[in-house]
Amino acid sequence: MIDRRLFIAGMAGALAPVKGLAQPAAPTARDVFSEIKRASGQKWDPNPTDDRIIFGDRGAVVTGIATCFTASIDVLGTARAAGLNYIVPHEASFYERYDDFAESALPDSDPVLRAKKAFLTDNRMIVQRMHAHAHSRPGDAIMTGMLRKLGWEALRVTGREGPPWVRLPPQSARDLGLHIKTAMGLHTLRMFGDPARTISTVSLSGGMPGENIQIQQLESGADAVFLGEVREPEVLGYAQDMAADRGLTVYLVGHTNEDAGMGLIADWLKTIFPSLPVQWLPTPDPYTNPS
Amino acid sequence: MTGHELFEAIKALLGPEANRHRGVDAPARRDTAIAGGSYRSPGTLVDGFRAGDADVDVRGIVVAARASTAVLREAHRLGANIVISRQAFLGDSQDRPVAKPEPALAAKIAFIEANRMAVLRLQDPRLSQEGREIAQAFASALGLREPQPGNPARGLVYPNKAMSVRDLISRVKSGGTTSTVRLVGDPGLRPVGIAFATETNRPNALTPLIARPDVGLLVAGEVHETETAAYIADAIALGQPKALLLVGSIAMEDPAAKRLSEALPQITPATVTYLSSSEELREVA
Repeated sequence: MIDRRLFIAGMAGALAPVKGLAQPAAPTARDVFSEIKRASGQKWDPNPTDDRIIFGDRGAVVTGIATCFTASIDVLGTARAAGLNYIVPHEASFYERYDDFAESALPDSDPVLRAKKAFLTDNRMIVQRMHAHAHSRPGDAIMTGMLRKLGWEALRVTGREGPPWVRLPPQSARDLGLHIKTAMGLHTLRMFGDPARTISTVSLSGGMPGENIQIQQLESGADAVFLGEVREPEVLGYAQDMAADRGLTVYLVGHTNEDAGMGLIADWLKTIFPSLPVQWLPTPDPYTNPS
Repeated sequence: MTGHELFEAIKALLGPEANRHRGVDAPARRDTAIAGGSYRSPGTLVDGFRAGDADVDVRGIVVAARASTAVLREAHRLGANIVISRQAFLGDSQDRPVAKPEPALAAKIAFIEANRMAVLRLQDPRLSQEGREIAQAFASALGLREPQPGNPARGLVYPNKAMSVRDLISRVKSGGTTSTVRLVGDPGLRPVGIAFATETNRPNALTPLIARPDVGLLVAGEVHETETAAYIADAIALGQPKALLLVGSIAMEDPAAKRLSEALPQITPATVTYLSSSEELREVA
């Protein structure tokens, strides 16, 4: 999500030089989180996406840091095997988008919820979410990671407000879709519109910034729109209505299109914690479209 | 019969609403949470007129999964002035008034007003026999019969032994409404039970349905990916025989729209026409 608050925070990050402080030889989770907040150069506001330590003992010694799109059971297992116990996911970890246990639709006795908490506790793992503050890194780490993964970082149109555009050599919507599918490592990619239509400009957003922004993208005049997760009746429906009179191409890429950005967060954290192992643990596309 | 009278007759036919808590979507949850409330429990009603003049005499009725521009134009061409939509009309799942409709929505509203039409949203699961059959229409179209008794708003659960997820996908695609399903899990799984989320305007809060021990497959139009899809991926990683099948909101609602169109002649002499709402999605290949 891009809003005024995040933009200001991002500017603060861009302007504030990071000064390394002496770090304890065996930093605790509290130390690591404090240092991340300080090094960000941003006024750290955990709202609205709960960028805080969600779970775990703040006094636990950190053995290494893993960044990821989501702290899935699979990711946690990989992190444990690598000796990493400070987990920095972009998205929520406990099946409630604000990681708000009080608002969870699941009972505390749910077996998946209990197993995940037990795994974290047994392995002295800590989960610290980083959503808004990944977006508000200078340039938006999530967007930059996505553009880099697509090979489009140098093609970004400058001087535009709102979701970025890229300008590409003209190509068919189908060929562009094939590029997106391959570059993003997708098993399945849904496309709206005529596959033969020629595309040269694309408006992009990551994750689920909301229907208002996504509809703005549809109305932006770009030849094609690259979206993460949508609410179909609102956004896909709007595309259907537009397409009754205007040509339009939409790629529904899924929320994991934000994954690569957490690789850039890992790169940044390596500069803050040179004595700790730091890894990005990728999240594969979870979907297939079986024939 | 006016539009309002038609709506009253429909409510009498389909029975009481099955759920007092509905229409909860991400923006509403966030707005409510920021205001200090619980975003799991806004009691927003969904069914009702969303555009146009419901005092008009009903000249003809079109029923569709969605009152798209194409559906509205075809309804007008057919001489129908009431369009019944399963899905939202005003741009968010609660159909909240839109202060500044975006161009495509504004054009639809203008078309409706210029042609003295009205759009009625009718999506709430309801509890009469007719109401239940409409809620079950998608599962019925796939050949599933006799869900477990219970409140359809909490999901429809069909015990299963023989059918694999791949079999079910084949049936979904043979219906012709969608070719772009998304599966999380093993297509070879034979789930112990198949659950259908009936309220496609409530993509959140579906985890309790798939968490049930008698449910192995959740079929939904869409979900919040970082909630329900993430839960199922973790359940699978823990060795649970679970899967998630997303068929898209149009495919989910199209059979219900068709079934509703078949029920309406009981209460109105007006011509009733079902129109299919194509989602117009394709797999990139």
